[in-house]
Amino acid sequence: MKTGVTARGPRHALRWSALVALSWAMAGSTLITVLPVASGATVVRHSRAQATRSRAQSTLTVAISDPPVSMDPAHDDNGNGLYTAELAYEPLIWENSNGSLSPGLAVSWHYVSGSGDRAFVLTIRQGAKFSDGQPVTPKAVANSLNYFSTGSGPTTADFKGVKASVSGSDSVTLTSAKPDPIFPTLLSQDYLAGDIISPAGLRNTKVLAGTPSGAGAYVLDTKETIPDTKYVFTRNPYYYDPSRIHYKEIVIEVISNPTSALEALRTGQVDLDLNAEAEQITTAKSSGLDVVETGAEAWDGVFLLDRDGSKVKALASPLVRQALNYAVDRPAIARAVFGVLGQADDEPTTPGWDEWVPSLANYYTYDVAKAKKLLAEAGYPSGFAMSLEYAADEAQTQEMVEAVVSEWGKIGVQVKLKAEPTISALAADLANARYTAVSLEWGSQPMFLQVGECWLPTSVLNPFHAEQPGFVKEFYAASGAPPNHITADMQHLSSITIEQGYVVPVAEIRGVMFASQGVNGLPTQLPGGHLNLVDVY
Amino acid sequence: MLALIIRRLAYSVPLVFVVTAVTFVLESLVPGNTARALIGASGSPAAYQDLRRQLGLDEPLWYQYWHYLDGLFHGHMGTSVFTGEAVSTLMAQRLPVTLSLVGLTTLFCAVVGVALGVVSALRGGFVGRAVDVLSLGGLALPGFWLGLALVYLFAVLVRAFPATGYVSPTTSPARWVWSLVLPVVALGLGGVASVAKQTRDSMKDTLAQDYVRTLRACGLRRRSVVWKHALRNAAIPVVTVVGLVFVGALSASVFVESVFVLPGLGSLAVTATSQHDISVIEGIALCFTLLVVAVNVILDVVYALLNPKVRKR
Repeated sequence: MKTGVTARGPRHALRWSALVALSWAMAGSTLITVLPVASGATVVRHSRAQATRSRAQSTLTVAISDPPVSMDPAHDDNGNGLYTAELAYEPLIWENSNGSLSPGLAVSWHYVSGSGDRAFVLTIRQGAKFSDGQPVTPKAVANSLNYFSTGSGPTTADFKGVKASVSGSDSVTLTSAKPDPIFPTLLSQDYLAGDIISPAGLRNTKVLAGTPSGAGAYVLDTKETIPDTKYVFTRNPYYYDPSRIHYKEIVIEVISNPTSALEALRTGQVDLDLNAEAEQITTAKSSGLDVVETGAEAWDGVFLLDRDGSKVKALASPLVRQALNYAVDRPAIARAVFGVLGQADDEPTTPGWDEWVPSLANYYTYDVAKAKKLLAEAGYPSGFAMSLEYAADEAQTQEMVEAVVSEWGKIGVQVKLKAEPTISALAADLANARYTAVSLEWGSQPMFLQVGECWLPTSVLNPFHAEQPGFVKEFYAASGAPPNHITADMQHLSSITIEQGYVVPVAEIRGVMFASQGVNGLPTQLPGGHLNLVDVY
Repeated sequence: MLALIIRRLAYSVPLVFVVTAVTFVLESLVPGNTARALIGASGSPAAYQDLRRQLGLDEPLWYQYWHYLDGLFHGHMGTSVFTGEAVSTLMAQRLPVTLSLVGLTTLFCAVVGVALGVVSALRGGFVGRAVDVLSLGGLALPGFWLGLALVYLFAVLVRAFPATGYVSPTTSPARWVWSLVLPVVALGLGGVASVAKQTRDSMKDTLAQDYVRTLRACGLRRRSVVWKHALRNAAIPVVTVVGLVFVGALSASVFVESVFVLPGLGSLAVTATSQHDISVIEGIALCFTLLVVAVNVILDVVYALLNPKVRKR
């Protein structure tokens, strides 16, 4: 006999209790879900409608992939940091979306004739004010420039040794011991030196790291801002050109996950997605979003570091380096690795920059037979062994390296690969000169900077201190040349690096961004793919 | 009881030392450092060495750690090299977000998990099997993927919830909950499964006890026997699992905060780690350690409430 249990009563009661429990659980969950949805649904409709109005009247929300390194231009980098910097700081010179230059806080500029590009004069705009209402004076400009040259950001290296001094009631003169033919570019918003910091900001640089203090069109709203996540900018009431302020508020959101960024754009939470990827283009188009492909911003390839043959004798031969170039099927790799945004590139730059040599485009066609012939001529008919390091956190570079190494294997070149975990680790290891080649995605830049960073014996990307006879002398001569000679001189230097095979470029990489319909002022098909947020409307 | 709590808190002091020391050492082993993160890949070796000296990174590791501890003893958690903000300020800004997410997740797991577990224990059969399948699915599905799937389904397709972002409860309590629904579900589904399964197993064991049969024989209502007596005795292992869910949610919040762009400690940890911002990393490690200690103390109090024998220890 079963104790306390009858055939029907307790089991019936159990089912009833279970139903009640399940009902409570479902009711509770429904309440948790429905209550906010009921109020939130209204908010969604309201928010979507608001988002539509926002773009037109009050708020532009932009998604970027990483936060700025610092709000202090002297310690910021010129990656994502440029978006916040150009809102808060007015540069001396603006680089426009089409690559031309126009006045910012400087209304005009010129090199001092006969100075060999060592002295540069700026005329400062009258009537401009910082966000605290204080006037922008030549002394404030000079102090800011001199402070910048003491900074630790990556672009400060281009400004080391430059001295700024007040040279008139409205002028500032920059002097440099070495020729510098690209002062206008360095003083644009792209290289941060020209982002003038207010005297109040310079008095407290610790605060400046988190709170910008400039003369830009917008001011950081520190109450609404969450560092590393969301930066809210409101209008600067003292800005000298109010017609250039199109929004009451610009919000920059850090959304590191590209999928999350696209979903935020699709739901109207974001108006402009700068963390877009090639693989998302189809989805973005089918969602009715604007897809803007910009000009190439960077290129990817292999830098041949051991050009003096210290470790691998073969690499000292230009014939060998040319062979490595001829052995790579650039169109196939660019298509496979970089998709619609990649294009074959055999110059260590991209179209539109001063070192791009139009006559040398497609200089290295894919020709395995020619590559083998060159190796044989150099005395390496069976190939040779070398080493190459890259950063594992650059996924496309890794794929490209594997493809290139496979191609080189066909001509007998064996490559020992080393994957550093991050680009920082790679940069730290570079100076040790342990590997004869390195693969990096490299941003396009003026030839003057490229040579300084890559081809001089003291360059960061020249750990073996390789020196092409006459190259350095020709570089310094070109640097001090009159403006109408510089481009031709720089292109000649660039030709040397291409013809001598200093590097094996593989693909130029175009940029892409997604926007809600109705967002205007975005650049298209421009050299450098330059976006100025202040120009968006 | 009070002695137990004081003992628990006392154990946390050496734990804090161990955690901060281990974090310091582990961070030093990661390739790269703050100076390299600041100066970038194209910085010259000379500039890099200068910056290392300025930041004190050329000092021996033990000295750097001692310097950090010295600040901690004086109530300073340091400042972020990148933003210049005090670490304590950054923590204060972001802790409520993470606590909201993890707290609501734990509540969600506890309520739904216990309910499902009880129903499954009482009904068995199809419901029991459904709970098993849910358990397996909840544990197998990675939170990151689940988050993205939920965003696509409920934010993009259905437009019922926001895809990203966080609203403070002081701004709007309803929108605060609304902004956390998807992240909580993404983070908590696995926890619901764990709690449900543990509840079911404990309840089945407890309902099979002689005293339960005795209680029924005495005429007590089924509802009272299940919810007032049996569940209370079955709850102790469930409470343990709920505590583990909290701790697990704390760790997993890093991924979910990234997907949903929640400005919490998890996303700050990711940024600080990539920047090698050691003061911030230490602050987050310390904060997480103290949270886990607090959760353990709370669990002990709950045990004592559920089981009088514990109070007497």
